[in-house]
Amino acid sequence: MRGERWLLRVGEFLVGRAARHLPAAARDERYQEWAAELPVILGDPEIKPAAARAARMLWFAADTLRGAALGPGPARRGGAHRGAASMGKDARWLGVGAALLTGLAVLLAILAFIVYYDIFICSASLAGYVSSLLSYSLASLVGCLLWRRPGGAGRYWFGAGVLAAVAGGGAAHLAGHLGWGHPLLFTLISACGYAVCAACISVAGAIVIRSARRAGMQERSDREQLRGPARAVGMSGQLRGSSGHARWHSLADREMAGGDGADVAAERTVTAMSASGRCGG
Amino acid sequence: MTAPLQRVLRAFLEDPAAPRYGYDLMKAAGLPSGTLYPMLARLEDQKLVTSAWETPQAGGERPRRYYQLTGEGIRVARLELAQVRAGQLRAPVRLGRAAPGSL
Repeated sequence: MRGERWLLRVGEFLVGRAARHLPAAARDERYQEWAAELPVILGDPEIKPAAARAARMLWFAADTLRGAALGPGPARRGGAHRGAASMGKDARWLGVGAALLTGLAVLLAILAFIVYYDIFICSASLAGYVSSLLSYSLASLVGCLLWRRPGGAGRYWFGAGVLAAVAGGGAAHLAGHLGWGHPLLFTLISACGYAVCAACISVAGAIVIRSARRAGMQERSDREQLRGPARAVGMSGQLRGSSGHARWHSLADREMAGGDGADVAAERTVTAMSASGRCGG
Repeated sequence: MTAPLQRVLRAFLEDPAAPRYGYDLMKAAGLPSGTLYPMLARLEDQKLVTSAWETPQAGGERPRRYYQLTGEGIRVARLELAQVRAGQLRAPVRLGRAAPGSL
């Protein structure tokens, strides 16, 4: 079936979201269970045609999400789920975000219209074309930089934004050359294109910033994990006496603080021997 | 006992020894996944249903999880369904609740 891989990805995304509503202990297991059903549904010979199988698979994933997020049951006990109140909060934030984005788009549309009107209609000079060329070059440069940054979805948003700007501006240019319609109409179309472009690029920027922040958090977490084993050695040491145990900890701390390696190792050996009663001194 | 639970138990009792996958149960009971899986989790909590993972297949497909009624589950399911069929109301509606320890 064409697009099966993408459909499965969408389904896996949905069941992944569903699993996030479950307690951490059950999350991975449930995800594996639900994700294993998706290809089976897509290949179910009892459902025909293929579009119906795809719809069934997506319905399965969506309803699993509903059941995990809203349905009662012990699978959700343990407090790791987010309840209806939290979902309402999410929806509010989404609404606020959408409203802000729309407001920004409208403002930018007005601004773009003014700039465009000033440059291309009033002056119609070389400066307008140069500034347009510079804008597109700058957009391309930002696009190249985005391509090298983490956050793959940002690239698509950026691409969509550039496409909208090119489509809007191109339509206006074409109409201007061929004398179609009223110039104001196409100017408005191009302004809308720029507005959509600005909104898409804003989303791309937000995605890149978020992914960079996540990468930073991951880096910090990796560092913490790297520091973990040093402490674990101290905790699982074979020392029996409590004073020896405490001293082992202090040695581990000194090692972590960058103390002299040979001294610390020698001191540790003596400590271990004295604690286990094998050192006569 | 709720109607969805009756359907699930009937689906199980069609062949109590056969392992049933979640999707199979969905089709047999005519229930959406969002209703079925929490119910299965509840039944498993109450030790009426047991689950296991199938052995990984050579094709690299994900192993599926299958469910089966336990001996106690078969006994309780038959009893409760018989009560429903007979229209007896000796036991209060217990099966629809999520409380642990009760069906």
